[in-house]
Amino acid sequence: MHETVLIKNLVSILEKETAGPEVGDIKIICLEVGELRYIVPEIMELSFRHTPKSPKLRRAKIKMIVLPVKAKCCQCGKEILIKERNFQEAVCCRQKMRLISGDEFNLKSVVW
Amino acid sequence: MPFKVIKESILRTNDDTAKKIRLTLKDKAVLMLNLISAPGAGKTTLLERTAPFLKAEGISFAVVTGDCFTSNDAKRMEAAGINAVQINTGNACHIDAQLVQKALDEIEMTNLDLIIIENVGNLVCPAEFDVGEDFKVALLSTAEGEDKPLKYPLVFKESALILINKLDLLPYTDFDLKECERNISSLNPQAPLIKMSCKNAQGIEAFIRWIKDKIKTKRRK
Repeated sequence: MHETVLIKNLVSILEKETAGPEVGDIKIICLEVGELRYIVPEIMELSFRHTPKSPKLRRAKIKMIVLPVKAKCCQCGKEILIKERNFQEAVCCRQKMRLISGDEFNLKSVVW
Repeated sequence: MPFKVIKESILRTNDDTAKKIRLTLKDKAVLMLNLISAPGAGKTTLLERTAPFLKAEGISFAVVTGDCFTSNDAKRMEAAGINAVQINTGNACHIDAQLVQKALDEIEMTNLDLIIIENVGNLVCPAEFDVGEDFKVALLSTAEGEDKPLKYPLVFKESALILINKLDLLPYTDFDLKECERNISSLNPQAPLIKMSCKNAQGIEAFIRWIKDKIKTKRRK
């Protein structure tokens, strides 16, 4: 499962970003994950629990904000929300649609 | 409660390595393709069948082949006279940029035109990881469902070329080719689509032409 690799990456970033003395024990790790990403939240939590990490991160919980899939018409600029990954209904001006949201995978913030 | 906004991609480490790979390949003028498909769609056979055509065109190439276990695919490549490096990912379901970097360290790039990464058979995870390629190429076969692209949209959306393989099996399956083409077009109307059969070499020349065009374009840059 690639959640394990992703959690290792996440922990690596977190340990650098939370190293300063002004940052206390982390309570919440807020992630932004696009709907197109194949991430299972429960596996992320499980992987995080079992990944070695600094004492500051040990009690942290992961909060995932799922970002919707949105596309923009390259002709008229209209933005369309694509529900349930149904790209067949994302039609505008019979032109190419550019994906503008939905494939994010970001560490947004931490709360302590 | 105090907080800190970070706004950083979780894939930063991978993406930084992918950028370095991209710079190296640009410097050496080597085109790199990332071939992605479900297990059994025909990636290895495609490379075996393509090799003689590439050689006939004077295109020098190497393959980085990834599997969880065994070196079977690298052995097949070598038997076909292809310079190949095997990556074993163990329990990991994809190749990442760090693994590709290690493989590239084993490849002599002087006078090399093309590297093809034969990714782990998986339509989910390989789409998530940039490995420094110039283009992703998605492969599916008529032995799968025509709705595969809709079930795994990310890889089909991100690919610069889409191959439908095993056309020779069409008479024996319920695969709806037109529906599959519509599904692909709804996700990625720009990507060319090549229908092929590695069994009878149908479509291989079109694939070679596409590769030649991309090598030429990269060299011009």
